[in-house]
Amino acid sequence: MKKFLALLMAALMLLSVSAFAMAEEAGFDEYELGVEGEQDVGFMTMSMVYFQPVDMAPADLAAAKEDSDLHIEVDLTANENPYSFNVGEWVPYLSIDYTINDKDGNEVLTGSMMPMAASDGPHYGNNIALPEGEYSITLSIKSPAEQGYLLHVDSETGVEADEFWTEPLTATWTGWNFVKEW
Amino acid sequence: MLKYLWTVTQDLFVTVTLVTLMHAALNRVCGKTGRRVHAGAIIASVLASAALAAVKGTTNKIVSSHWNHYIYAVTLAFIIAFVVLCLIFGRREDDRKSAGKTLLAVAGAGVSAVVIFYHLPGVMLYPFNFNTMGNGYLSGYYMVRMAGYLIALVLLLAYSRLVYLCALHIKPVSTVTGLLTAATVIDAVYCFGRFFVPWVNRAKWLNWPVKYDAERFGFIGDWMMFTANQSMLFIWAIAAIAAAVLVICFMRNVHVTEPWENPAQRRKLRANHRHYRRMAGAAAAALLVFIGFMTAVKGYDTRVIELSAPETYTVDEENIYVPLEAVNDFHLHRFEYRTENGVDVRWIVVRKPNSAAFGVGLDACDVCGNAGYYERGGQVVCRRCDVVMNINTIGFKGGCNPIPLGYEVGDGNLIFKLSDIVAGEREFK
Repeated sequence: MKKFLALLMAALMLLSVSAFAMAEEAGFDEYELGVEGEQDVGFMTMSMVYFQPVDMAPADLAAAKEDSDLHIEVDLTANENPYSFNVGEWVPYLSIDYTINDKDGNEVLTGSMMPMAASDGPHYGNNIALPEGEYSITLSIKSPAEQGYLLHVDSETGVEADEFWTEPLTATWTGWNFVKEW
Repeated sequence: MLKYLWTVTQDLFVTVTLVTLMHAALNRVCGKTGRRVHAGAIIASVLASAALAAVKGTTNKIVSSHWNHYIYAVTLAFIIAFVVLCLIFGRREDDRKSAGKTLLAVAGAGVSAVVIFYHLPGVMLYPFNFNTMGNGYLSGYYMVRMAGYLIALVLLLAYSRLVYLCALHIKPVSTVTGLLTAATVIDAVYCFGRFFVPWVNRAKWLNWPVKYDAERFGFIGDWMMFTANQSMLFIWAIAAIAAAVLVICFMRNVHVTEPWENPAQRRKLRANHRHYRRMAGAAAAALLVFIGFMTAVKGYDTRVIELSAPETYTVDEENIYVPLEAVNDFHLHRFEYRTENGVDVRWIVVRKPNSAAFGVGLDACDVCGNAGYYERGGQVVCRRCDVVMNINTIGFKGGCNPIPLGYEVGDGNLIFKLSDIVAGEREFK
């Protein structure tokens, strides 16, 4: 009887896991990064999120999940712009560097965001190693010209702009309470 | 290997200590019922953890932050019930059954079950996520990590057994239940802060009618961040409780205080006391090893590697000249040039194995920026992401490879154009 009860208890635990798992919506939970939420940066609207470190391929192009504490992403879409990027869509060929400061303003980490795609679409992101704490993050966004992306500038086929921006655009998200919940 | 010595210890130390003390306390206060209910809870939670780990590892059905939120709530409920029941029924050790003691056993078993269920699935998944650099399960990379993982687990199990025997021996039982209650309260303080993570971070799925407002509820946000910034403090507090159990066990076995009738009986008592002193000593040694894992080993494993000093070269108006004999030894060499804008541009040179060619690139890559590379055991490693570079592909474009830098060989020198070096400025601004 007691063995039966023990087995029943174990079975109930297993069932509860399965039931919860079935009830859970597929996907992952993105945490909003910083208190600013969406920001208009140049001709783009940007927001930052973070969640658990992820596997990426090719593996040698990104920091390994094992050596990382979280994955950060900047989601961005184009607004009206003179470069003919489609409004409401992702902007490719950007070079985005990040600097993370602690709450006292000390720089704790710098690096680059890589272009990539997840189940929710293309974005710039990376796995990073960072202890739990309160931080701010500043992005420096260089134009597609840095990666050799050209603009038509003749009168017949050219875009509205004569060139891309030359000084990096910057945006900062503050009051980021990073807590690992995964 | 080192990483898993301290991460597994850090992940499971509190769980193992709490569950061990709980098993001893319920065994003594609730007798056979307590022991059996608690053992059943441990088995069930380990099975449930395995099930959760399997679902999490093979599907995208598990959103850990949602699960954790509810686990914290259940943990808090069980801890409150346990503390109240323990204060009422947990002071005496006898075999008499009562509804109160049964409830105490159930509450204590619940605490252990949820604590295990919270921590164990992640630890179970570690071996499936070891970074073997693409070398698979039979590689040295995998074996070394698995060794660290298993050593930590075996040590934790041995420590658990020793602490359990010590806790069984300490009299009166209220000393053990008192320390256990303190440990559960410490865990509750932690869980309470973490429970509010989705609310404070404004997770969209939570849908609470009252939104987090820092001006009104800042103290909750502060509490949450306290659990984040001082997470090790909670571990040290539990370690202090474990140490107290061991010290009490040791001190109560220094002298024979029981009555004895003849020298043989006294020798037996002394031997028994010696046995418990040794057990407490061994458990304390394990505790010290864990503290070492979570301080010294962790510190060493996560240390920031200092880059080697830049080496010398000659320069004229157009070129930089690095003598071949200075870089011919198959080791990593670093050079640095300060541009007119005051930017220090670094580059590296390493002679490729079994070849006369050199791997040359900026001391920076597209992924990790200008973190730089260092040499470890004859390998070139990225200082930020710890990726080991294939020396033969250094000089090729892409990924973690150093950003290629053009060079020529002439007159016994590697010759770099100053214009190429200056063009690398942007990577080091």
